[in-house]
Amino acid sequence: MTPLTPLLRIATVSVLAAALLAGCAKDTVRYGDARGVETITNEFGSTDLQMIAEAMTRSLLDAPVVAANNLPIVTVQEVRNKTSEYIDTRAITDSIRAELQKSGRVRFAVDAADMANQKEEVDRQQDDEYYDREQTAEKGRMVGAQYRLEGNISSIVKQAKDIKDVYYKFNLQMWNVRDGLLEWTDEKEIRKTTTKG
Amino acid sequence: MPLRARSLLLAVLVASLPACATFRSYDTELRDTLTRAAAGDVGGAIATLERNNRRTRKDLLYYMERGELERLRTRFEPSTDAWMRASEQVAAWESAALADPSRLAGSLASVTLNDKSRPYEGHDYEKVMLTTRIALNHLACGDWDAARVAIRQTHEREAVIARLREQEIEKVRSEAERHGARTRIEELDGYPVETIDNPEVNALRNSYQSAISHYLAGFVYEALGEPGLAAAGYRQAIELRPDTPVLEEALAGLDTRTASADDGSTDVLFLIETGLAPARLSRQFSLPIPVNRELVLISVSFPVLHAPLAPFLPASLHIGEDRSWPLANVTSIDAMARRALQDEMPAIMLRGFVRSAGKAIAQYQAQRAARDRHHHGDDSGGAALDVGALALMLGSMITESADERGWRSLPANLLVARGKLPRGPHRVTLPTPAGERSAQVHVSGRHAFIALRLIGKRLFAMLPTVETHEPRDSNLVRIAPIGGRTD
Repeated sequence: MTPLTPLLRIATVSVLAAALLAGCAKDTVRYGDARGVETITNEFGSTDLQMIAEAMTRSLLDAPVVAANNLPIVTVQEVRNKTSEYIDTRAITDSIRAELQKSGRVRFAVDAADMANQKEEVDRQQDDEYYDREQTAEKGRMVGAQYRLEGNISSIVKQAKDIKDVYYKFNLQMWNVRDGLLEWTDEKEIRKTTTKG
Repeated sequence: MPLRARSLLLAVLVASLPACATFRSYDTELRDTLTRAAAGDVGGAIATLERNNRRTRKDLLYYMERGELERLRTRFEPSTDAWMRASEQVAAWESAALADPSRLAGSLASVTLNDKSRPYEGHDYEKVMLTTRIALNHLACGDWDAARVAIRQTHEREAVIARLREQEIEKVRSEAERHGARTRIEELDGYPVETIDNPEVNALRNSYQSAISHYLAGFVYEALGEPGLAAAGYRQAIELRPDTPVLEEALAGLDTRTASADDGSTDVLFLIETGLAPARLSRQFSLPIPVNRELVLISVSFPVLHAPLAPFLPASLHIGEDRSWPLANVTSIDAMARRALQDEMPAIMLRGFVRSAGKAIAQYQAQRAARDRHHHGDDSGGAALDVGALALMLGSMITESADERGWRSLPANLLVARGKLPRGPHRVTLPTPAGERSAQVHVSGRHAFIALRLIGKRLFAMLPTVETHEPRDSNLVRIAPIGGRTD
């Protein structure tokens, strides 16, 4: 017999085994810790968002304007994205707002992005005869914010052959709407370095 | 059965398994399809495409081309359906490649026969363009939220491709060193190097990121009230296509536009697509292959790029009687395809080298064994080996052909113009090589998007409309409202 036969037999068994294994292979899905540290890539990720939101909330709650327990009314303006990355800055300010609201020491007025929806709802209640007239929202009753929050996020990216360094700087400011004074500001810096290996 | 006969039978069986793919000439298949489409006979083009793809299980290329042809006849739903099927196949490739990056360098079939025997996985720029074009379809139908989803998928796909290609470059480099293979295109005698290695091609950051994808992302995010994300889109577009005023103005004016109240006009983005993506054609070149410790020049097939239509880049777009907006060419798919081939050539050359070395050694050994048999008086055995050597040579010649596959119905160039228009009907006129072509459009809302496609002498308006009754050779394209974004 030629030496091909055992070779062919091994090859056939290998192919069948591989096919069988491929057929048995199954994707697994599991829930993870939403607040676990994520270091898959050095692009802006969930851990960065959480770090920024926590640092800014903590700092803002210690600011005299909030610590005085006057329940300031605040509106959130846009955080400008000065990076080239698709960073959802609205997600950052939403997290900060949620934490501040939970603290019970700050109240929020409707912001510019949601104003159209707010007006639409007031108009809808006003225009719809099915609503109880005494309970419908009236025009001219909304409360304007005393303070506005705005900020920006910028980054510096440096890349060499085997290393990539990303530096993020998030800056948030609280301005007094009436007198235009800056009441509070803080920054959070993040540095992420990836080395190939 | 004697060993020689069994080996021959095995070789025939192996060769015949992927026979269709091995001998397929994609250029021949698509030439007729695209000629019909360019003449305005999109239905005939689709029928031709169907005739060339009779198998029940359609491949990625079929869905890509089908989606594009359906889009040409403004049937956005079947177009999106076809592209979603294609996108599923790309997603499967992504998962498989991320799980096992070693599959990127090639498969056994491509090494033994040719690259056409590999399953078609799409070029990187095609994978990214796929989700961008799905977004265009959603915009044509006025579904901005769905367009946003497709745009997010584009970002994610770009990130996956970036990771995979980095790994592939390393793998090809180490494999080439291991085989002692030549993978520099300059070493291919007579290869038209300048077609894939020129200033325009080398100015691209890579083969798959395009200014149009990111500019469109910026426009959609802006229309949806997400200036933070819009800024990133415009900034990426500027980085990918520097010194382009329309891109720079989009970023510079973002804050002002976002803060301003509705003034009753519409911010309109026109996308003008011209021409067809270049064709990959199989051509033979001499590659130095080591046989018996000597370098022998072997004829191996490699793809070269050929533009099917002369490039036409209109300078401006006329709206009504008194408005003329400059058009900026923000993305050249032609250049991206050339960059893709430049990037792919080391791997293609490595596979060609390994394949040709195997064939050359097999032929050399068969010829030497035949000579030995003749020398020892075994003329019948020698004759059988002579036949075997001849069969190997013929088989090698027949199967040696470069992979011509690629998404051919994509446009060659994408130009944009943007400005404010009063809400209502407008007549848009575009200069073409065959004279002016016009479309009647109706814009509404704060933001609107209008796409026009010029192939040869024919203008296609990508507007969501019902059937038209215009004559086949009419210059006037469809009249339709453009679904605007009001908030």
